[in-house]
Amino acid sequence: MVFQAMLKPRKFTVGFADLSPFYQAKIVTLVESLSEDEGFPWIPLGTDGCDLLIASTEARITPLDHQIVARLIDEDDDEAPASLTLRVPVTRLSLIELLNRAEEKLSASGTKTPEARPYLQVKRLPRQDEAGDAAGAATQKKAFTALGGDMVARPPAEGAVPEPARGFAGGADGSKTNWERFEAYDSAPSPSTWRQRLTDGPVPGEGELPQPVGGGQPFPAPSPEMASPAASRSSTGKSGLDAWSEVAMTLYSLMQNNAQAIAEISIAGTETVNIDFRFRAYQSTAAIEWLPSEPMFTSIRTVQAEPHWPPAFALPGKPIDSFLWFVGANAFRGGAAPWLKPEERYRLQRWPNLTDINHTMEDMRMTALLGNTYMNAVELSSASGIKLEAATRLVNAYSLMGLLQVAVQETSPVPIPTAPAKSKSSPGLFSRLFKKLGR
Amino acid sequence: MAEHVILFAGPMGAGKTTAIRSLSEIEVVSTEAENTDRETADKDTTTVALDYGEISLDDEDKVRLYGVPGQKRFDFMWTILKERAMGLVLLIHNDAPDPIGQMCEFLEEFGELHAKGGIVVGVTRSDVSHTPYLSDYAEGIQRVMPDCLIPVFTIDARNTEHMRTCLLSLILNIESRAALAEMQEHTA
Repeated sequence: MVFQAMLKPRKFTVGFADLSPFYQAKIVTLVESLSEDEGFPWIPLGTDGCDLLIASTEARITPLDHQIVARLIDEDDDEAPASLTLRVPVTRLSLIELLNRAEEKLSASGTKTPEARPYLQVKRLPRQDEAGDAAGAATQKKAFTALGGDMVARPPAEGAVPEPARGFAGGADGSKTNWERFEAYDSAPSPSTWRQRLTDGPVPGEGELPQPVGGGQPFPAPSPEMASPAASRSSTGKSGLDAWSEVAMTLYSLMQNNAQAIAEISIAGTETVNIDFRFRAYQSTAAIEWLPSEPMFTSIRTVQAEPHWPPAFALPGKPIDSFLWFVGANAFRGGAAPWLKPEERYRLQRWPNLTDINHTMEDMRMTALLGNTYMNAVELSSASGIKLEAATRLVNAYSLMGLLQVAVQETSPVPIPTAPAKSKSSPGLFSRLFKKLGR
Repeated sequence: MAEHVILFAGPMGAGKTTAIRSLSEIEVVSTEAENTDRETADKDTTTVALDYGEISLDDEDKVRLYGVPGQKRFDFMWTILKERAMGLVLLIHNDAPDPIGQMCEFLEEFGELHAKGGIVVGVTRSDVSHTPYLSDYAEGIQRVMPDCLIPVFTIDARNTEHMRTCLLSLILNIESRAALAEMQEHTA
């Protein structure tokens, strides 16, 4: 085996940073056509862990140790000596030239072997199943299909699921694409189950799913590693879910599985949020207040992070709870998250960090109630005198953040006050203090 | 005249005096002395008896904010102030050698205030040291005070908004618990 590995020709991967979809598609198509020639060592990789990053001239990039960067320059731009460039219009010839130079540099630099260097494993592609994106989706799907088993420089983890079961190779022999393979492998309820439940009510076979254990939050079943839904469009989307709901379901899956993952969320094609679950942190191109509450579409990609990987961005980043709060509060259009069940009541197992999340006094009032007794959203609304939709959004968000413990509803419910809470010993102190301090 | 006493406790250098200054409407009355314990906290002065600030609710009603000295040798002051207090804001600095351990020590000392009113933990200097995480504090609380849900927030004691959030959530938590207890009494 070792001997075989040594003989195996070195593969290089090429990816993109801050490049327009047009040029990405063009380069991917060219690389793929070139890869039909035996021995062509380049494979397009849709993540930023690749050997060669082709980037726009404006992109500010700090390459990883093993990486080299090439710039896409305009027709009349000057070429800096000794730098790698690709001039537009991109042609087969100019791309071959670039890749040859890059290959020489990578080979000469004695970078780590593919087996040893960090890698990013694309678990699932953004699904662009909208009619308008059909061409782009086809291109992208084809591109990722080119990820052969050879190039996935992943050392086998102990106890991991055997590689073939979740391989990403395919295409040439008529085997399934990455996306289809993932669906086939995914024996756990996929987000499509949730979608169906959300739009059509309970789905057949739902009762077979494992029930919540102890005080933990319910989760239908662990997904094989990470279940990452793809791109979603808002109400016009086929799934019937709004864009944040799809993101919420993926994040919920990751949180419940305690996945040591990195997620990249693209919002309406303009903003990007990166989450590194290992450090409970995220980084966003826009402040959270500026993210749209109802984006036209979002897409999310996730990768399983190895312990030795560096953080996905400069730490400390921002606390993940504030982003989860934002997503949970904006998802599901004010309806209950599909993983919540009508017969359940919830109680905080720890308070959220209120100095991190953009909360209102109503949120604080409901939080205090949930910290002291089990309630469902209807009871919470009744007890606090706050609208049901606000109570539901809060429960959704706290559930996503993993702050809730669950109890199945008792026949005789716990007593719930039906008016805004007032203290016996010091009536209305909060109201008076709030009036005094304001916000 | 109603009196609402809130204590601010925590180890030396956690930001108690600063926190009271962020909230108080009056100039804070401090009893500070030269700090002779530079190893524990590198600051010029330290509180030796108490800090005092207040927020007036109306002509008669006041929320009184007492900062208790962090050093154990002043624990006689803790006993005096605990008797009058309805709640505690416990401040812990995250870059201390053992912040969870320090929190647990103070909770053991002041834990009775949870039953009497409520407690909030404010973690300061989390920008200096990112760990331990708040969930670690929550686990620490569960160890010394099982079944007690105490809010834990990261705060900057200089930030008035943070301190308001701390104080308001403390009061709201106290009132919510009282209201629920009242309801349970009625139905019992």
